[in-house]
Formats: sequence, structure tokens, C-alpha cells
Amino acid sequence: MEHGDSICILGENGSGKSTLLRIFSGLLKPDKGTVKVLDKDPYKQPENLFIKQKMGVLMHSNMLYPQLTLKENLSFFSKLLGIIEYKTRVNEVADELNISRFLNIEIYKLSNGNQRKASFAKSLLNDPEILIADEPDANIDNDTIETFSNIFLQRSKKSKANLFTSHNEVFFKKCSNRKMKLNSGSLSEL
Amino acid sequence: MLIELKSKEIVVTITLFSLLVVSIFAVTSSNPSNLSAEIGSGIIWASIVFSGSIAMSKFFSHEEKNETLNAVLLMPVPIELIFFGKILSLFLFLTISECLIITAFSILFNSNPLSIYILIAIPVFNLGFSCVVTFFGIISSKSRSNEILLTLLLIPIIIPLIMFATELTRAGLEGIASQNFNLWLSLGILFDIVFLVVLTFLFGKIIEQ
Repeated sequence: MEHGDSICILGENGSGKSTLLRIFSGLLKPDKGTVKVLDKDPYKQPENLFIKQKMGVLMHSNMLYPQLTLKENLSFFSKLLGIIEYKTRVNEVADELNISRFLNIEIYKLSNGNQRKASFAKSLLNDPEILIADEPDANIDNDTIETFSNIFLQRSKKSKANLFTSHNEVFFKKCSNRKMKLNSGSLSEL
Repeated sequence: MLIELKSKEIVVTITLFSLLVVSIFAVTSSNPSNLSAEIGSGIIWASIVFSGSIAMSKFFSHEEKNETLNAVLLMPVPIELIFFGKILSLFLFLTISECLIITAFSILFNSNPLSIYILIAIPVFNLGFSCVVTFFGIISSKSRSNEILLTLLLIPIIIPLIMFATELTRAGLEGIASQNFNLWLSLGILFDIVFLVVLTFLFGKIIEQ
């Protein structure tokens, strides 16, 4: 995967797309083989801390604290990412995803679509070199798909990489410059 | 910690459950004021251990359901720091709950367990308990029957700490000097150190796997 690449992994349900993304993000260790992200091993401390600093992850689950407000969630993760001007950054990503009006609302009170946007905002906090996104377009309306697509395209222009899965043809055709198909455990470029 | 400050779930669960246990013993005892120190210390620590394990299994099952532990693991923070953070927050909330339980015990049984012994027993017990419950709470949260599993895994391992805490509390309730105070204190601290070192190492290994 090169700088600026935006790769969409396609495949049927259960083909292993989410598992593959979990392996790249360091959440799952492969049974065999090796994985290198930014030339480092994502499973070994302390070198994986470097990868985590440069990576944004959006999984199927939104991975947010439902009892906390959007602002509290984003501020908490910004602090863990070591973002010094975290208040400014939280407002920036919230503006970018048009969720500023929800900043003081608890996550569990938001609609599924807005929770998805909140989770996407979390994955963009560190302006990651690599964005790993598992079906970012799930549960969102057409306007939000447009917003997400623009963010993917802007990132590619800034030489940042995106690796994502999607079943939405409009979305993946617009956002990806390469497409790969995962079938029976093997990945082939389309 | 922020979540608990907002929801107060851990403190409320531990305190309410423990208060119920202590109250049942108070109302079923013919003369609560004459309760033996041995039984009294057992009531206090049994209620804390069981309510603590219920509260923590609930807490970790929420973490598993929302994948918030995974969210934190994706952050550039050493795994050990995540483990210590959880231990520290549980330690604090457990201490708050214990203060409330001991106050309730004093009122219901007309006896004062507050002594230098219990003031030593609380932090030493809480450190070891927080360590073990955090470790097994995370492991058991993957299981469907996590509430039973956590209690089953937790109690056999912390029996030495329960013995330490009840022994010191008994001495406090009797108002006499504990004969083997130094031995019990050394045992309690030793278990804390072993739990902290071994479980921190194992936690890192389990997460890596």
C-alpha cells in the first residue's frame, strides 16, 4: 500500500474483510504470516505505539462510551493520542462531520447515523496517515455518504492512505483508486 | 473514571448490595449489638467481595459490548498504563463504597469497626482485589456467563487477602492488638506485590495474543 492509496476491500459477507482489518489495526494477531504497518510490527510493544499514533480506526462497532457526551468522548481519545490542542481539534473534526450541535449530548441519545459520524470523527482526531474503516457507510444517509466520500478523497490528495470495506458501489467507486476482492482467504486486485 | 463519576454504577451497586447483606444479618440477629467480632468481620468482607465482583462483571460486560476497551487499546498508550488506570479507578470507588458500608455496619450493629487495623486492611485489600478483579473481569467479559465466571475465578485467588482483611477487622472490632499483625500485614503486602507484578505481565501477554 502506497501513500495516497485508497483501497477498498470487497467480498461477500463472512469472507473475512473485518477480520483482515482487525489484523491490520493490531486488534487481532494472525495465526500465521507477518504483518507490517509503516514498516513496523503492529503486535509488538513499544513499536506498535508508533503505528497507533499514525493510524485511525473505524470498526463496525462505534467504540465510544455511550454514557459520555460526544465532546467528552472525543476529548478523552484526543488526550490519549497526545493531542495538545485537543479542544480545537475536537471542534474541527465535529465541524468537518457536521456534528457540532451534538457535542454536549450523550452518545446513547444520538441516532445510529450520528453515532457513526461520531465514531468517524474519533478516527480522524490524529489526522491519521492510515485510515482503516470497516463499512464506514453503514447506517448513514446519502448526504453523510457524500461527506464521508469527500473526506476520503481529501485525504488521498494529502497523500494519506485509506483502507476500507464497503458494499455500497457508489461509495467505493468514488472513494477508492484500487479495489481488491477477498475470496476464500485470498486477496486479488480487481 | 469519568463514566463512573457520571453514572455512579460501581459505587451504587457495591454499596447497595453490601448494605442489603449487612441489613439482612442485622435484622435476623437476635441481638445485633452482641455480634461476635469474627462473624462481624466476615459479614463486612463477604458483602464487599460479592458485591464488588457483581459490579465489576457488569462494568466489564459493558466495556465488551461497546468495544471501548478495544478503542483504548488502539490508542498509543502502553498496555500496562491501561491496566494501572483501571486498577486505580476501581481502588478509589471500592474505597468510597467501603467507607459507606462500614458506616452502615456501625449503625446497624452498634459497634465501631473503625480502627488502625481496618484503615490498614482497606488499602492493602483494595489494591490486590482491584488487580485481580480487573484482570479476570476483562478475561471473563468475553464469556456469556461472565458474572458467575468472574466470581468463580476471583474468590479462590483472593482468599489470602480475605483472610488478611477479616483478621485485621476482627482485631479492630474486638479492640485488642492483633497477635500476628506483622505476619498478616506482610502476607497482605506480599500478595499485592505478586498480583500486581504477575497480572500486569500476564495482562500484556494476553492482550498481545
